[in-house]
Amino acid sequence: MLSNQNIISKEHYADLFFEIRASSLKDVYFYSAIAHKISAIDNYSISNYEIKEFKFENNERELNLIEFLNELNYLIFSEGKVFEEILSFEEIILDEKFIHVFEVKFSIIDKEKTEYKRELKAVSYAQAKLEQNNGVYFFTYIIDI
Amino acid sequence: MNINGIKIEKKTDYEWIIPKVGKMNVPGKIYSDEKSLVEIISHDDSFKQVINVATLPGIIGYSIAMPDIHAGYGFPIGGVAAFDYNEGIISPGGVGYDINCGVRLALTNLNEDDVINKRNKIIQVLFEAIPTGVGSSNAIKKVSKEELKRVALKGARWAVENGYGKAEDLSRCEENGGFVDVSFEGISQRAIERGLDQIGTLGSGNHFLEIQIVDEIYDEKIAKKFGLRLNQVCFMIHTGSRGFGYQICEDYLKDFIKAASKYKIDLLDRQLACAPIVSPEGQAYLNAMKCAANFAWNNRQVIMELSRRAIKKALSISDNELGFQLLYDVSHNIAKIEVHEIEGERKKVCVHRKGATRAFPKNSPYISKDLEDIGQPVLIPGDMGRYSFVLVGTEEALKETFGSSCHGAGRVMSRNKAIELAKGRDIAAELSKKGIIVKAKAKATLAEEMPEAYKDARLVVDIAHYANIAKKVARLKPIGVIKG
Repeated sequence: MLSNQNIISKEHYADLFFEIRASSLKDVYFYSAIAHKISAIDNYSISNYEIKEFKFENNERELNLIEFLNELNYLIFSEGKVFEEILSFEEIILDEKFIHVFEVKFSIIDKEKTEYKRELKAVSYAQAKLEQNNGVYFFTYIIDI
Repeated sequence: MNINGIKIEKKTDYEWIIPKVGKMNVPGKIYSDEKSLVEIISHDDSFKQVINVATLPGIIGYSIAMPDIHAGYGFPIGGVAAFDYNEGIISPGGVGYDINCGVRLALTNLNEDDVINKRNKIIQVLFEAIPTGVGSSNAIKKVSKEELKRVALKGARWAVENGYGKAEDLSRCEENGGFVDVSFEGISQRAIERGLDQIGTLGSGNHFLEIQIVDEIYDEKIAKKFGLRLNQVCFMIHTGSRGFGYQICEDYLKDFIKAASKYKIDLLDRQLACAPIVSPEGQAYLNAMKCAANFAWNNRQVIMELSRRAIKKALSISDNELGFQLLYDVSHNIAKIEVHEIEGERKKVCVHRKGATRAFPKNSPYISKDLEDIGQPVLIPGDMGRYSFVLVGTEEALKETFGSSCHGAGRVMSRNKAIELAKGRDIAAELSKKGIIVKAKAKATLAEEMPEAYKDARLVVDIAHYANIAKKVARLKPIGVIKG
């Protein structure tokens, strides 16, 4: 599932800098969510599962990705919900806007018994960039800690 | 000289100017010595970010960089920018996620000899009293939404009214520990939820609580007036507005990206997202930021009181023997509406200090009466293995930097590299050999925060001192550290 070819952790003095490489937009979401999870948490025990639907709409795709990752950040630290997988994904382009609609499966964990690695303040809008080259998506971004 | 394709002119040995070119509305000004400029600052995007800030509407004077400047997101860390109140902008990125992250220093009647053999016990008791680390919570009973609203409206005054500290502590905080013209409107449910159980918690990252000893005095007269003396035991607290502030920043950054486009503000970096100060969006953020700032002042006030109780318990001493007194509380991530003299005219401006400390001189109306003839204490924390500093604000700072100075050491190594370098080493044991007892909640924290990962704060403080944007008063060495 997780491969170093998809999630590359880059050098950054203060924070966490990632490059995600994926062959589809759905996988960009998936691998960046996994990168977020492994940055935040070590071990956790699952008490239940939940499926949530998301819809993001912006004139740049990377803004949707940042909003999604910040949503994950809130869910993992505040509600004890950990990303597991993307069950469906659709992109609609309408009036120069990118609309991403998808369903995500979350594990529900006991926060008290969970080993969190570090507090992640937010995913920064600065330097976040999504590019496509020869059929591969490259998404670079920073998590402010 | 030319660094990374950017022309930089020397003004003095400690002041460098990036001339106004292209879309810049004002020049850039960097406080540094030549060595740091070439060997440290040039290695990241700091210069570019100073230039980007200089392009924002309504900026006045210079886009300023402090000696501890390093690349941030949008604004550099160690950046100061003042904007005309009526024509300028306000930017959540110019304040940062940890709104009103800051430092306070409590002084005691104790000497090094009184605590040196009891450090382990004090650190243990403090560690138990003050929750640290990820999502740290429940230092005090979880508050209701109504109570959190009162915290956001009152700041540190809430703590004092609820038995956490003394009324005289308030005058030793910027804004007396709380902005007063604040409403709770525009605070999201998420921010509220994140704040309910985080009052009195330290958090993680570079936040800390340290037992320090005054080990060098540079200015006897001012040190005495501040109540500082050699071998004195002090406690330094570094934390901010926790999840409450992070969420407010995130909520408004998202809105401001759209607002910038609405007001036709050309952004060279998305994190510079901003809106006119006087616009509905600008006023809404300013208000929400004040709520978060108030949360942070209250947080540090509660932590200080919890520390006082814990130390008394650890040492079995009376209040008089301990003599726990707040020297000062400084904010180093904040935007404030202030009046400054600009080209002979008094102007209302919004000063963004992101990783910069206010450093007002004597006779400033913004500092408490009892400090009027001295100036504002400026607290500069260092890494956990070396030194922190107390300085005093200057007239020069008021004239040249809107009354601002540096805020800390700044990292010189990535967290990944620090962890790699720490492999096979016991950082706590290494610090213990130097006489510093360290306790951290997360395993990785000690490695990520090891002293080598930071610049020596002395280098930064010396530049501020020689550039006269704050003058050195005393140096403090750590003997006990709690990390998140």
